[in-house]
Amino acid sequence: MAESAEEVIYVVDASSWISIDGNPDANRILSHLDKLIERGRIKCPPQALNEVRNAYMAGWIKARRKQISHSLRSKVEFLALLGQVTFQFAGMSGARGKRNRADPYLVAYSAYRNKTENPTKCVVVCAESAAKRPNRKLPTACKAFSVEPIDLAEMLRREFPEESW
Amino acid sequence: MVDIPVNKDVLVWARKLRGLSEQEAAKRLKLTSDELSAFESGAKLPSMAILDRMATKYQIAFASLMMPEALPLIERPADFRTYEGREPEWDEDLLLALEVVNAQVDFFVELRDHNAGLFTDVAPRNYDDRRVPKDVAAEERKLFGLTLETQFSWPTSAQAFRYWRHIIERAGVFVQIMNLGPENLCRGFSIYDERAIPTIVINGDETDGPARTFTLLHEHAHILIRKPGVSDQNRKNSVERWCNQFAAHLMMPADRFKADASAIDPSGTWSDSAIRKIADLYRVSMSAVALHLEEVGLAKPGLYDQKISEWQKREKKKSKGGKPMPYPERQVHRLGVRHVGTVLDAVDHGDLNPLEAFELTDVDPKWFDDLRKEISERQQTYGGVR
Repeated sequence: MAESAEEVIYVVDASSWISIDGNPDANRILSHLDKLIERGRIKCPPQALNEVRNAYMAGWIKARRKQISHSLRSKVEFLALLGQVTFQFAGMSGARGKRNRADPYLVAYSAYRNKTENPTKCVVVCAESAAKRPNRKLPTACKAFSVEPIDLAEMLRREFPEESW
Repeated sequence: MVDIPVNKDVLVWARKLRGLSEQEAAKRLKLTSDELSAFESGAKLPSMAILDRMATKYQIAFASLMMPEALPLIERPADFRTYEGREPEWDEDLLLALEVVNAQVDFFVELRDHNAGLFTDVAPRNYDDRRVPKDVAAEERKLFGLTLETQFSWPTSAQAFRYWRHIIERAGVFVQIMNLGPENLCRGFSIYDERAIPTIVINGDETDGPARTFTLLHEHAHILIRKPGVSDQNRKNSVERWCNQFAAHLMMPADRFKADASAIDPSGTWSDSAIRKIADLYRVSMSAVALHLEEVGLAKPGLYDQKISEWQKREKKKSKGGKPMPYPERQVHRLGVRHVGTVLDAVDHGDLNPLEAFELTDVDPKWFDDLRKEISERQQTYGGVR
């Protein structure tokens, strides 16, 4: 596993979790994710985990939920960031709708920790690029709040460079 | 308990977004009006528990209550309803449905900008509402290629609704069925603006096929004359009257209707059983027949109001007959084949991810094959829409 001075925390979105099921390499990916989870390197706001409705992945996550799930709702500064993300990316966040969407939580979670914890660096792992319909996309919102967005394969390449991904 | 520094204007915005008065909101939140006023004026900050309750009771995402500023309230559509001197009523369910449908339209616009091929080029025709509705209805019917023989062959009025719905969807319109609050306050609404995603939303469910058919065609008329809005189908508003006449003539072309009606009831007394027979023949509602009898001059003015008043007195609780539908089938029912088909095509083309598709259908991706099957079956039975 690659080591670096700053501790990178991966904040994984629901689409990335869901994308693992059906991947021919799913078992290998999950065993590597387990290694990262054990080291506390994968965290998610509970809202993101709640969006994983894929039965297999939801079951897998459930067994590890205590280690992965991390809520910052008690932090006032986090709540302010959550509101800013929602306001700036109202479409992505469904600001007028009734459903609690996870995307603003992922961005605010990462931005808050990047701002308040040193040398922690939170990176959002998401399943899509900003190329299509960028205004609605998580990577665009991440960049607006100085959070790096990468995809799952990139995360695995960075953490397990000796293997092919 | 920690007080959360929220913007007071956002709390007011969230309440108004759902059309709630201060009193109604306070009641739901189990607060006094003074307590709610204190939060909304900034005199007091709410706790997390209060904010959670607001999110639940206002049916809004918690994160939205944390926004640093309020978003603009969406302009309400034209209101063609008649209130008989009462204050206009915007039911919470109607406002929520308007938000949901407008968000879907915005989503479709982005999707179309990215991949125009997902959307057909068909656009609803445009008619001048100074034209006689009967003539416009005849033109539309001809364009639909719908004969009366075909219409009479539809097995039930509930299925007639599905046939009509497919015809309207084939004409480029998205047709949804949603809860819009009490039916006497709103029968349906239509959206057609610069975003060019024509959408009709019908209040209720599909159990009452004939009434839904009339609402569908009435709302279609709103789109054809480019005067979309919220309807209750009263006859006092000139636009509503035009749309009613269009819908009636489209379902019951006047010449043939007069001949059929006169053959069924030569005396012209228009008993309920005679009206029922005509309604069964055309697969329409009895109220639509009563209205049309008056409009084409076979009945004296007042028949419709008299009959409606009698029928309302006798109105029984709605039958919910039939087996409950499996969820994917129900969602195709609610959202329409055009909507669900567009979303699934976008998934297949990689333009939507499963979560976005879930947002637009409320169906777990694991059921998408069932959605495809349902759409395919409906298109085989009622005709393709895309």
